[in-house]
Amino acid sequence: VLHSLFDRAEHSWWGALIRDSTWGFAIIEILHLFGLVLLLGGVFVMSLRLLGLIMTDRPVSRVADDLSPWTLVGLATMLATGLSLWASEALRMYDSPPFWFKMSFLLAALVFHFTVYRAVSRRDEVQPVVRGLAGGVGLLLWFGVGFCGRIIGFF
Amino acid sequence: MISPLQICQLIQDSQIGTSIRESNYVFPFVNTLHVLGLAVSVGTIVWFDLRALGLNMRDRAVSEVFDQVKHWTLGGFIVMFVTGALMFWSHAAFCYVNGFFRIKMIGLALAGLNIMYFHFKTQRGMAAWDNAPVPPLEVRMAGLLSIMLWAGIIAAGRLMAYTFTAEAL
Repeated sequence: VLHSLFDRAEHSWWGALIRDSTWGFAIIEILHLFGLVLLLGGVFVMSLRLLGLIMTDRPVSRVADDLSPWTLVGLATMLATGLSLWASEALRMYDSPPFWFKMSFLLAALVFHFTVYRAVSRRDEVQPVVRGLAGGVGLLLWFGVGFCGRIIGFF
Repeated sequence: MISPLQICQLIQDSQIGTSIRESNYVFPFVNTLHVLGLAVSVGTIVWFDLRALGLNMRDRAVSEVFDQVKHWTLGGFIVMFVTGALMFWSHAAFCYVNGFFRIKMIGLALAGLNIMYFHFKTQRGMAAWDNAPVPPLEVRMAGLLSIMLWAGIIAAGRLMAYTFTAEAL
């Protein structure tokens, strides 16, 4: 079932268009990096705040209000460009171990982000230990996605 | 007289350059650290740029946002510089003949000039606009220029790797 999904993506007109164009893949990858700057940059600062290492004079919920719109723009950019990159070489991805590592990290990061991380970021009365733990886990999960993502290109 | 290309070729052919290039793990690891360093360096400076543009954290002083992010931005840049230097070491001649590498270096120089101009000129009048929700044009231009230059540097950096050719060798 999964393989047929990858096969259909590989043979979709969008996947073929990117694959067959000279600059398509490169340009989408650059946009993927722009999204990375906003998403990981936003997660980085928010996590530091949860860990009590930055902007400690500003309530956690305020920092979250500042950062989350831009972070979500970054996430949306990464998902749209990421799906496009995947479609252009889906069958190669199916056989790539780093790709599956990345998807595992991504799933874990998304679930964690929109449950625990979001809840902790929106409250100002959370225990520092819980808050710091959420910040650390969120940071590791999202940077883990980035790490595995770059490794896909090499192995 | 030895040419810059020959110097780059010597750097690339050095023992360290060769071992970075030919290792199955060192280059990918250094490259990955470079990208994660990007998230920390540009990913933090962009918050200052957005504040300078009056698009974010308007109720905070510009100088406060700068003081908060600067250490992390600097730390990210040190990672970028070290990993970037290692990658240059292993591909110096490839880089030298690559148009995108030159664009990236020019972009970095301009980003440096933008920061210095802001620091030594624009920042002198800071007391007048530090707390302004939307700072004056000169400050907003510095923020916009920073975002555009870093976007260009990232794009050129990524395109470099697609256009490395064997002609240098």
